[in-house]
Amino acid sequence: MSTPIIHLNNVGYRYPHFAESEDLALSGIDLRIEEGEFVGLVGANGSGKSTLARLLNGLLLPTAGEVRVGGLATADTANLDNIRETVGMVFQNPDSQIVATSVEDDIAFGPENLGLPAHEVEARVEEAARRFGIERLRQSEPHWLSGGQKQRTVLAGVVALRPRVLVLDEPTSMLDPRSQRRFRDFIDELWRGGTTIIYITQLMEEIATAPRLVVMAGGSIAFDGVPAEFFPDRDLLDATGMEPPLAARLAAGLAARGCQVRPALTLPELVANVHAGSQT
Amino acid sequence: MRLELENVSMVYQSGTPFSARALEDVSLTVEPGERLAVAGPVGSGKSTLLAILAGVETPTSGRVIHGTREISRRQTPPPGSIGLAFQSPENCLFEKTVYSDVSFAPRRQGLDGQEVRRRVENSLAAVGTDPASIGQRSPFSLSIGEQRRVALAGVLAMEPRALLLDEPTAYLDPAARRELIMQLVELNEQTGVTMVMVGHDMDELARFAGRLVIIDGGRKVAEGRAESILTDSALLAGHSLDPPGTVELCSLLSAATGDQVAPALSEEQAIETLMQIMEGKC
Ligand SMILES: Nc1ncnc2c1ncn2[C@@H]1O[C@H](COP(=O)(O)OP(=O)(O)O)[C@@H](O)[C@H]1O
Ligand SMILES: Nc1ncnc2c1ncn2[C@@H]1O[C@H](COP(=O)(O)OP(=O)(O)O)[C@@H](O)[C@H]1O
Ligand SMILES: [Mg+2]
Ligand SMILES: [Mg+2]
Repeated sequence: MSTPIIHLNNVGYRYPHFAESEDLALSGIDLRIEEGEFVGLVGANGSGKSTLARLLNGLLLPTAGEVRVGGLATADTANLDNIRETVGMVFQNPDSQIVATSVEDDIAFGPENLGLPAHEVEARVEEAARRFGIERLRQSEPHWLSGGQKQRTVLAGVVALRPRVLVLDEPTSMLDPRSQRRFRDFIDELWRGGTTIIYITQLMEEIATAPRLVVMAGGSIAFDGVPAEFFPDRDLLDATGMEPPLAARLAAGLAARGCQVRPALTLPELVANVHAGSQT
Repeated sequence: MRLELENVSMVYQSGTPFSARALEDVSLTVEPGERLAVAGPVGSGKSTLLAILAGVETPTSGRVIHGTREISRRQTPPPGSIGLAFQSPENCLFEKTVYSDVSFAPRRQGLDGQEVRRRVENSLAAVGTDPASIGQRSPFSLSIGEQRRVALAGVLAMEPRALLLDEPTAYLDPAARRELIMQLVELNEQTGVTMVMVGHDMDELARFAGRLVIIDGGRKVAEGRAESILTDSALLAGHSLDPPGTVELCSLLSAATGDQVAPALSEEQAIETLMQIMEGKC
């Protein structure tokens, strides 16, 4: 079997100076992600998603077990430069990630730090700005941009590094529905281009059709499989504080009233199933 | 308490190259005891509107009135009358423990220890946290979702006469989001506290609001009963918003069946609609 791009082996994490409680933020995490996968990562507030994300590029080091990226252990500081080139991160709050006073400097910051020659930096900035539709904002001060524009600036800066893995931590929480959809489409495009995606969200609609879903609860992995197996499982939903997407809730509501309809995770799917059912 | 904006305009950093017009001639009345929602695209001026309504920001022009009292830089609202939950409340946590953070406003209001304790415990419970397990932790050791809940509890503990909430459910998990909306509706019905909530998840606003205002580009572009605005998909789409999922379902059903299916505004209603379409198959 090939080396997985991400491999966590019995990983635990305890925050330092965390004497008030004996709780571990993470424990017993086993996770293998192959290059090119799309993994939706969900879980209740405080279940450990952001902690897990920060372990993936060596921002935090496991206090138990081992995290490997492309076969390299994050615990070995000699590997960290390589690992941070491999894994790009978009954090929960875009403000925390903006470093420069213009959009283009912000995008250029990462590639410059990789030590790339100036013409290559410029080419990457141009490509990233075009891809995310922010060419016109290149001279703007990021601080005053709207939430959606800030989020795209951050993403452009990360994508300009051409990471093989992209970890996104609740990136659309502050966006309006149209900006959310556009952002999600950008990510799908990157995934189709071969980038491995780990997508953390509280919006179940955003991962209802993801090929793989990992659900966290109390610092452990409570489910790892396809969304179609997770969302109908009432016990698992209750235990993890999650909720099925609307289409699945309605399908379950129909079933509870004795109407047999094939389960669905999206509204178009539900409509197709209901329509087919009503015509036979 | 009635809150009013009269012809309010707001320009940030006026006279500098960074000058930004955030609101343009907005008039709005929030009736005592109502639940009003404000929706609009990112950058449309929602947070600015809420901050001006709360008396935290002073508009460039126009009037702000709380009850019978005009609010200005010199005439600020009495402490404890207005509770504003900011969009990034995690930046407002500052005490050593969660308990002292949430009790900050009630302590400043000069309430006795027992009353302070009651309020802290009630409001932490209202946001779905367990006071016993979280109370003695440092707010800075919490995940973002937990910090948001604590900051919101701090505002609830003031027991203000008007509660202004800026995207209070962002970053909350699905169970917490549903629970918070239920708690807010219940609180409003029991105490008559006036509520204004900014958000863009229309399913959530459908469960919360009696009335709804849409702003776009700093202007008020629509205002009316929640049912009529939330079922107007074309209006919503014109302002980067989606209709609630149940309304979208009915449009999809109309397209699939060729019949006009009336929009549903709750999951119950949507299930009824689906059952009618399935007719005898149930
Ligand atoms: N800096 C920190 N110090 C101590 N504990 C923390 C810190 N950050 C998070 N935690 C705790 O670790 C657990 C997991 O947090 P986090 O990974 O941020 O959760 P999620 O992203 O799933 O909401 C929570 O119990 C949280 O309170
Ligand atoms: N302190 C500020 N200085 C300059 N411009 C600002 C400031 N705060 C907000 N803005 C601008 O005002 C407009 C409205 O912002 P805001 O009220 O935060 O919108 P919303 O909450 O709807 O996203 C935006 O264009 C934003 O960039
Ligand atoms: Mg998190
Ligand atoms: Mg805002």
